[in-house]
Amino acid sequence: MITLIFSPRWFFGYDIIFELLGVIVTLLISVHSHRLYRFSKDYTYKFLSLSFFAISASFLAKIATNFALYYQQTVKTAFQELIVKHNLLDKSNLFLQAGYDAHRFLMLLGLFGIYWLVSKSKDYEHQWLFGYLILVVALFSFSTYYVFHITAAFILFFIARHYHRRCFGKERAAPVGTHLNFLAFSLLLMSQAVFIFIFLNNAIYVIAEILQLAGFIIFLVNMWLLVFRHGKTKD
Amino acid sequence: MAKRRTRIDIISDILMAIQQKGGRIKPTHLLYKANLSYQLLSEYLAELRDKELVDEEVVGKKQDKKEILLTDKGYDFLDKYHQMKQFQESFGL
Repeated sequence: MITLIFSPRWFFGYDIIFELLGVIVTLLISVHSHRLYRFSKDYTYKFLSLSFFAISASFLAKIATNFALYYQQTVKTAFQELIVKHNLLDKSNLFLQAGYDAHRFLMLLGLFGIYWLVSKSKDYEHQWLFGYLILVVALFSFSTYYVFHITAAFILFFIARHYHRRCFGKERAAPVGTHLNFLAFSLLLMSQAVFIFIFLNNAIYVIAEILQLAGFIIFLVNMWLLVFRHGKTKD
Repeated sequence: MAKRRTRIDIISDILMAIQQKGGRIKPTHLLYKANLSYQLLSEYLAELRDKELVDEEVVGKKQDKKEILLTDKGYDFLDKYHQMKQFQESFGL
């Protein structure tokens, strides 16, 4: 038996809305990056677009799975069943497992893609090795969910470190967008670090979700500055 | 060491040189501004004309001089290029 619901009951649905915003923001970045790829034919943008698309799909998988899970809970409660361990489900529930596996794999793949791009690594052997390790972590952390969050936090730490260097390094001053990306990735890093401890208290899940939401709002502000405001100022 | 210019960088340099001169420029001036050989600049200009990013106009009393003009499509291209550069800087790509 594996614990799948960490959200407090009053928070059911709110987390889905929060993650829907994550889907919209990551999709926005993905689409914009794809447009830049079509414009420049530079594969860096295509790769970034695919990475953010993977994160977007990852959240969609989690939303679908959580929706099914919360729906089951609501139906059970409506029929006044005596559910002592209502947050426990049988491991054989393949749909839930597939949903969470997809969420974890796509999330790690997307994050790793971003790390790979910003680190500007050319070592393709390592790329395959990390790909394999991500698959292993995603598939075998169903019962030990914190392994996934630790891995995601690690990758996010290296991404945030890269942006920190760009923002506060000795090179020329970084633009506002780089600072915003540093802030957004740092918030996502904090949220993943907090997610590790959700077994302690339901409230921790809420804190982690709020940190994650804050990260995506910063991304949204950055995209607004880069795309929409740029479009208006050109006139 | 300066980073090698990509194809899109060279195109934008050509278009920006025209833009900085108010949207029209003499070929000799462009040759100097774009920092390209005559042969290469001719090839790029032929391509830019095909893509309707620039246009040519014959000027002068004797109609013996040529000027290169930036079209609306050229201005759009530059706008997209600046947007791309901002995005690239912002994401550290």
